[in-house]
Amino acid sequence: MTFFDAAAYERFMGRWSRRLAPLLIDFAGVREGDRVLDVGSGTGSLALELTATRRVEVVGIDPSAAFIEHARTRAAGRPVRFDIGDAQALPYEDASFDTSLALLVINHIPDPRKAASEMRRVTRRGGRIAAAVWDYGEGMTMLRAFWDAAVALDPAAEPRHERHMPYCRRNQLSTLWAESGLQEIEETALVIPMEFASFDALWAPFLKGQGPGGAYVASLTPDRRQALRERLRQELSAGDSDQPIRIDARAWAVRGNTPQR
Amino acid sequence: MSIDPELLKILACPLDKAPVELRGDRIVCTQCHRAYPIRDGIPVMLIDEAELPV
Repeated sequence: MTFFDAAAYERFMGRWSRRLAPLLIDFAGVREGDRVLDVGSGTGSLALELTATRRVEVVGIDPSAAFIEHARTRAAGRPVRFDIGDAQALPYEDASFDTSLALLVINHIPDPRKAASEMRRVTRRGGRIAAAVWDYGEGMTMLRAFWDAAVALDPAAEPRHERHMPYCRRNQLSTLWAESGLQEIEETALVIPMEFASFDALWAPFLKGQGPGGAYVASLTPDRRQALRERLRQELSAGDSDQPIRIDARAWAVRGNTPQR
Repeated sequence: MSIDPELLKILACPLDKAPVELRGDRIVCTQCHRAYPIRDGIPVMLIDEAELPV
């Protein structure tokens, strides 16, 4: 997937990943004084949250120059710096970081095993590595309902359903961490509320072509787009009136330690 | 081009993980000699964007 429009991404999904950031940081047990690597730093939400709440030094890395520029602007004056690079070939010496984190990026890396192995390599002995992914098939209500509605109307959309993301179910991240030789592995569910002023506020970002859902909506005729809108409204049990909507979004998070020796 | 010296200490070549050094406006691998550009002060540490030694 290509993320090229940082501002549009922020409006569609970034505002929700921002809410997940403090939960992942707490679960990861980031400590004062840590040097933290933020893999797939995107628009910078994790790096900003880290430096707002702890005395830490953060290095963010992302392959997108546009996202790095956006993140750097947001993080001006903070102890954060950014590099353009690939999670599968990290440009750091061994054991450079105390903690390495990856917030909602594992599914966007072509070879997640290589990335996990690289995160282990650049983290010091006995350091911590943690990651989170949306529970696309179930607890990430908005996207799950969107794709369920799309597939109900158009079975050919099934392969696009984000529940087919390689990492989105319980225990998948734990397995990846175990395969990467990490120890004391623990997994948990992180849940954030998503609030919308109305159903239209939820629907509008899908019309902007963002993410797989937005790309799908853009491919539909106006009639089918309208049918999908109505079906999604039913899926979410959102009535005709302009009522606010509150749904949960669940992510799976894993943490593990690099071996002591 | 201001690159924090602290940063160079942990930066390594993404390909062979060897130490790198700043040469002019490039970050150069001391082993394979690939040169990584710095754009707007941001190191571009992508193997595909490196210049190969001639």
